[in-house]
Order: sequence, then C-alpha cells, then structure tokens
Amino acid sequence: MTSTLHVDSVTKDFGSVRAVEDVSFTVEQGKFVTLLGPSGCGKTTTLRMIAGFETPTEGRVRLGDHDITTEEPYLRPTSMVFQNYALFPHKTVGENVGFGLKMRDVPADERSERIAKMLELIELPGIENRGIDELSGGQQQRVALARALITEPEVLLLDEPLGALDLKLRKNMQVELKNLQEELGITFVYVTHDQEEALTMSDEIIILNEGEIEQRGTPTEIYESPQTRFVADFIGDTNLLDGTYVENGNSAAVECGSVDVPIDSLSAAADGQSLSVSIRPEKISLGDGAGTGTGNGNGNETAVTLRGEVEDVIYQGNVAKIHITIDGTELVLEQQVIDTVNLPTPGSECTISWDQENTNVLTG
Amino acid sequence: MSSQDDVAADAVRPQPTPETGTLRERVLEWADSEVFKGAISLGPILLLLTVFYAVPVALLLVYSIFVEDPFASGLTFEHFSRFVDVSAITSLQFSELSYVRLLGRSIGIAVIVTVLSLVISYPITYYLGQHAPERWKIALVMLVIIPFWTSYLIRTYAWIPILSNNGFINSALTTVGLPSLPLLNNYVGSIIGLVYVFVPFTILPLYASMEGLDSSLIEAARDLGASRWEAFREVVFPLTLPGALAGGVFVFIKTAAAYVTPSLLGGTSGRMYAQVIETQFGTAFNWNFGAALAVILVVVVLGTIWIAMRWGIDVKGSRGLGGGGL
Amino acid sequence: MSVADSIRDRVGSDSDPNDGAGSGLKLATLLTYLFLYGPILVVVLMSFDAGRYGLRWDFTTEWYASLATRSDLIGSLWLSIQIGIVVMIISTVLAVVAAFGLSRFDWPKRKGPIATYLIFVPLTLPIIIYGIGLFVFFTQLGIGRGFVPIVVGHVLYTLPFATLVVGAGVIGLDRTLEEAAMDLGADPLTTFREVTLPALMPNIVAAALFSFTLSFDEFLISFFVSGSGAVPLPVRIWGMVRADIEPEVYAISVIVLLISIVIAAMATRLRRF
Repeated sequence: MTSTLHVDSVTKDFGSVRAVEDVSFTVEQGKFVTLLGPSGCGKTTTLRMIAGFETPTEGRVRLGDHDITTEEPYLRPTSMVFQNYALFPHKTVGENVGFGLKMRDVPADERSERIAKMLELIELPGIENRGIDELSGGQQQRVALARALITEPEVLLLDEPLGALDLKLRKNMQVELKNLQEELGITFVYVTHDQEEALTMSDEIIILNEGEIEQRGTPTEIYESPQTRFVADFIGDTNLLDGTYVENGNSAAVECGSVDVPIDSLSAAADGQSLSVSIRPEKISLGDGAGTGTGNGNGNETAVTLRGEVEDVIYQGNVAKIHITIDGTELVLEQQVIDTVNLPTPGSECTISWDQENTNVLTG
Repeated sequence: MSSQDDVAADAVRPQPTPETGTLRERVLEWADSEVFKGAISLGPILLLLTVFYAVPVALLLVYSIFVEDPFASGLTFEHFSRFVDVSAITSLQFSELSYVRLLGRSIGIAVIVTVLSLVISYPITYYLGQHAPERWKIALVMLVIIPFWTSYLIRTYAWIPILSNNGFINSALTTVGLPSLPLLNNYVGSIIGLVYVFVPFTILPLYASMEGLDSSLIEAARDLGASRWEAFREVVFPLTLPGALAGGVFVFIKTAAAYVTPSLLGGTSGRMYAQVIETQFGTAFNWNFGAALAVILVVVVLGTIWIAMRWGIDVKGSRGLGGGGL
Repeated sequence: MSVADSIRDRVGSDSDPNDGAGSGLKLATLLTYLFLYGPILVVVLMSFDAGRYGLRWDFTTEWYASLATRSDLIGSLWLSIQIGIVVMIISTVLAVVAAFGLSRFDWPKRKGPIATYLIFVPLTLPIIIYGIGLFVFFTQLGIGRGFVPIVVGHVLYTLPFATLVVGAGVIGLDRTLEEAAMDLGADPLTTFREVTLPALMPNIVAAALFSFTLSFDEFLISFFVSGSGAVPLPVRIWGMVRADIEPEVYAISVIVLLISIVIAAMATRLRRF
C-alpha cells in the first residue's frame, strides 16, 4: 500500500490571526520530510492539522485517496511524538508504549510481546514496569517514540522531539532517528527550528516563513541554492549583498555598493531591478595581495576575483572566519585552519575569489 | 496497519459539507460550538445554584417588602423604616441598642478585627515566605492551614475555659497576685474569638504575596543601607499590601456578619447584628422584619466588596486559598 | 569613605543582610502558632481533666468512657458522617463537571467571568443569610427541616470550594497528554477515562475530602434547617456549650478535631500549594 500524504492549499486562521497560508506539499511514503522555520512560522500548526488537532480553515489533507481533513485524531493512521513527550505520568513505561494497542483492543499477551519488541528496538529492553519519572530525558524521548511507532502508523509526526535534549544526545538521536526511519520505511514529517537537524536527517526540507512556504528541496538544494533572501539567511552563514541588476551585452552583474558581482544574465530580470545575492563563506578562497588566489574554481573563466583588505580574523578552532572589506563592503570567508601560522594578519592586502556558480541570485 | 484500517472503517462519519446553509447544519454546528458545550456542562449546576441558592436568598428579599405572608398581604416599607427608627425601643431582649447602632457596632468590631488580623498576619507570613528553612516550610504552612479546616464552633467555645473569670488566663493572673480581667461575655471576648477564627483569611493571601516576593529586592534594600525594619517598611510592606487587603476585605465581611462567636463569647456588650436577625426567626417569629434586617446585611456586604473593588483590591484573589467555615 | 563606613556600621550593627530572620520575627511567629493551636490544645487538655476550670489538672479518661452512654452524641456523630458522605459524593461529581465547564471551553470574553462569578457567589454572602433563606425556602415548600435540607445546603456550600480545587487541576493539566491519547486511538470518552481522570485524581480526591470535612464541621446552615429528628453533631455541640458545658463535649470535640485534622492534612498534601 502506498499512501502519499497530500497537503492541499491549507490555510489556518486563529481568530483574526492567519497562522498558515495556502500551504501545499506532498510527501511520498517512506520519506523523511522536515518542516523548518523560525518559531511562529506555522510549522507546528501545519503538523497539528495533519494530526487532526486543528481543522484547516481552508484546504484539504489527504492520505492516499482518503480525505482526512476533518477526521478525528483518534481515527487517523498518524502518530505524533510531542515536544514535551506527553508521556502519561500515571502509567508505567509499558502501559505508555502499549496504550495505542490497548485502544485498538489488541489482546494483552500480544500487546506485551509487541511492547517488549518495541523497547528492544529503541534499545531500552525490559523497562516495562518503570515509572515515567524514573527515566532520563533521553530515555523519555525514546519511550515517546516507541509509543508512537507501536501502532505502525502510516505517517509519524514529530514536533521538535529533540528540543529538550542536550547537544551531544541530540546529535546521537538525529542519526538514530534517521536510521530507524529508513529501517521501518514509515513516512516522517518532522518539525524543527534547528537547521542543522533538518540538513542532517531530511530527504526533503520545506522552509516555512510567516505561514507560507519559502522553498522546498533536498538539503543540498536548500543549502547550495537558496532561492530567497530569507532561506539564504536562515540556513547557515552567508554573505548577503543587496544591489541592482545591470545587464551589459552578454554579461550581467549585480552592483552591490562598491562591489560588482558578475552573474549569468537573467531573462526574468530587468535592468535596474533590485536583487540580492548570497555567497557562502566557505565557497570563498583567500589569496595574497599578488593575486595568486588558490581558488577552488575549476575553470578560471568562471571565477570571480576581488581585491580587498583583511579587516579581522576570528579563530574558531577548526575554522577561522576572515572578514574582508572591499571599499567599505564587508564579506566574510571561512577557512579551514590547518596551520595557525598561515592565518592572514588584519590590515594586509588580499585577493578573494569564488566560483561564479556559487553565487546565488535571490529572487524573493 | 490493519488495526488502523479497522478503526477508520468503523467510523461511519458523514463527509462534512463545507457549505453551511440548512437549519439542521446550523443547529449541528451550534451544538458543536464551545459555548454550547460549556452551557451543557454548567447548565445543571447553574440551575441548582438558581433553585437552591438564588431563590432562597431572594425569598428573604421578598419577605422584607410584604406586611406578612408574601403576595398574600400588602407591600410595605415598614420593616425597613423600623430598622432606621432610632427612637424605637426594639424587641424586649435588646432594649438597650437600636438596630442601627447594633449594625454600627458590628462594623466597628469588624474594623478592629480586620486591623488586628493584619497586624498578626504580617510577622508570621514574612517569616514563612522569606525566612523559613525550605525543608520546614511546607510543614509550617500546613500547620497554619489545618486549623482553618477544623470546626470553628469547637475552636470558638474553646476560648470559654481560657477567658472566663475562673479560666486559664485569670487563674494565672490571680495566682501571681494580679487582678483578674473581664475577658468573656463582653466585646473583648467577641474580638478575641473573631480574630482567632478569621486570621487565616489574612494569613493565607499574605503568605502567597510574601512567598512571591523576590528576596533580592530585600537584599538590595539592605545593601543600600536599609535596616531590617526600613527594608520591611520601604519594600516588603508596599509590595505585599494588595494580598493583605484582599484577605482583609474577607475578614471584614465575615466579621460584620458573625453570629457564632459573639453568641458564645460576646455577652451583651459584644452582641452583634447577625444575632438579632436570628432572633426574628428563632424566638420573635417576625420573619418579615428579620428578612429586612438580612437584606440590609447583604447590602452592607456587597457594598463593601463593591468599594473594595473600586479601590482596586483584588477581592477574588483571596478566595482561592480554600478556607473552611463561616 | 566615611559614608561607606557609616553604612557598614549601620548594616553591621544588626549583622549581615542574609542572616535570616531576626529573633523578634521568630518570636512573633512562634506566638502566632501558639495563638492558633492554644485553644485546640485546651480542648484536648479539658477532655482529660477531671476538674472543671482553673490551672489544676487531674488526668482522667472518664469523659471518653461516658461518651459511649451518650446515644444523643453518638447518633449525631453518625448523622454528621452520613451527611458528609452524601454531600461529598454529590459535591465532587458536580465540581468535576463545573470545573470543566468553567475552564475548558473558550467562553466569549464576557460570558466566562459571569459564569465564574455565579458559581462563587456562595463564597461571598454571609452563611447566616443563606441558612435563614434555606430555612424559609424549605418551610414554604412544606418540607420543613431535616436531612434533605441539610444535604442541599451543604452541597451548595461546599461546591465552590470543591470546584476551585478541581478547577486548579484542570487548568494545570497538560493538554498534550489528552492529545497524545487521542492520537494513539483513544476516543474522547476513553481519553477522559484513561488519561484526564487519572491525572486529575489527586485534585478530585482533595476536593472530596474538603467537601466532607466542610460539611462535617458546618454549623450555621444546619442550625437553621435541622429538625428535632435530625440533629448533626455541630448543632448538638452548640446546644451543649450554650448551656453549662458538660465535659463530654470536650471528649467528642477531640474526636471531631481529629477527624477534621486527619482529613485536612491528607487533602492539603494532595493539593499542591
């Protein structure tokens, strides 16, 4: 059975506040999709509409051929992992995990068998009789996951499930969650505001901002080719330059103050139109003042090379952030630190260069 | 996954149509609305409150404006004018005081009791809220709450063997050669008993305020050179006054309507207004006049609450502190 | 420098600001506890005292022994317990319904507070007014005084307290627990039974205990609506202390206090504060 999740033009108003506006996407069975965005962007509301805790003001939610827009939450083949886990404090671990099965009138012996199996899957075997308050945060997280998975939902909804864990545990769980998802082949819809988490785990990322979809794509697409100013700024560090589009014969550029950034000519843009460009710091390489940029470009004809002055060097361990000014315009580049002796000194002349295809023209 | 499908198949839910037009749909939509569900769950209770609370109290209002049997006799204002008639020598038992003066005395006693309750409440709540060791705190606060939930009748009459002429206090006084004091069967007895019974109403809200007071404010005051007393006067007192006043309003209205304590401890000079209301129903059998006296007491109580709320005192604030009695 | 010194002197004179309470404050607190518990202690002492008043104290248990022969007191105690249990059950059930009605629905701005005020009116008006009103009401209905009027009066009297206690639990309840249950396939009724009710149980039990003890100790309403056939214990005690105090009153009072204190302590522990 293949059940693709369809979210069709869904809008949600809370009184006069519009939380979600005309959001559409589809998730194929077995995919890991992340709804990513800052708090208040509508990602949790979207997830809750899929779970059935909110009814869309407009639009439909379908699972395969089945319209579940107004289906009660307890009738939907979706399961949710809550941000605060929502484990029942008055029930044991086993009763928590087996709750969904009990609701489906699964006989007690089959239930305990499946609970045991599920606890093994989350690598916490034999803790059926423990109380919830005896578990650590990480263990609670796993139990919440087990409770949601035991009913074999078609779609697992996860609302910032790792938010309460410390950094190290969170990183481990990211990998484990991804592995589990691939192993079980269940569709995961994951909500987070942590871009790194999204990049690590997702097959596809949907970026929401103020209730609307900004961009969707694979982690590589989202990171390497942001299409809007918001996405470029929200995901990773970047150099954002605002300027105007200038076409000159068969070459084109965005004039950003003192810096002209050459780009491929755009059919959609008119001369003089405001545009922004984004260049990731790690795509820029540094040369000395003589202009022999080491370059990570594979062909010099597509490389952009600029002269500037080193303003500041911020050492961060494995990398260093180097701030360059080019006639008052500041750019940041990131360099692997192999040898601290090779770091440039502030005030020195330098050239910087990057491959033109790493210049992202932002249309929104 | 099959169990999921069963659940889904069992649900014979009509596909809802987005258009709302027919009466049936509108009724269904209304039946699903929050107000309706709220009304359903509160309806029976509101009905109960109306029939068994509002009607009995309203019945007193009705009695107060009829000569005798409600609706069977004429309307009158005579019961209220009898109240304000200062020259009236009232019922035989209490000839020494008019009803107006008795009400005035009750209010006066209520003011004294309220002030005393506040004075007593401040030190203990300051200690419990700011200084009590953490591990003892819950136990100490429970010790304050528990008497609140025990029989006020017993706790009131317990003062008789303490205050009477041959009671504990006077026995102790005469043993050391001091004259005995008249503490029982006068207004002193009423006041002591009332403060005792009602002081938890100021302690509990004041404790909540003290507990919520950021202790670094006191430390800041001390750091800036304030003595203990100055820190209390300048920082603690103004910040906790709203809690104290909320409790104070409760003590006031409870005292103004007190019946049990003055009956047991007050004698003649401690007699209070609620006692003459009871007399009209108990021995004098003048329900209409008694009802008028009751209506006047209700007006005093509601007026006090109204004034307190106009002054910005959060009267509701003190009600949550769960108190027994009275 | 001199300013700093003078401040240090002043602060130093009553020692460092973090040293906790002054001895005056501790003494005042201690005296307040003495004030709160002194009369209770006196009742206990008197119940074991062979004499009557005064400082001389002769230990005896004869008043407790003679309680057994006082069928009037025993009967009233039993009646008060019966009333308390009936009131407890009715009041707690109603309180659960009312607490949900008040806190769970998105009342339009104005109607919510009105509903809340209505439920809490009985907390503000003097009990004596309600007692008299109820007496007139049941007399008019031809029912007169007795068990049913007492129960009705006590239910209305305890309901606001019980509603407050349950309501605090409903407001504090984590709604995601219920969502989680629904998400896992529990219909609303099952969710209520499996998740909501168990999570609220401490508050519900506390409300029940409070209702019982409030009814058990209630005097004024009972005073007006109890008849010769049904005299609850507080009314009986009232009659005894209005006349010359018989020593058995102290003994039965100690029993009443014990019941109330145990129940109140249990309820207070269940209810977080």
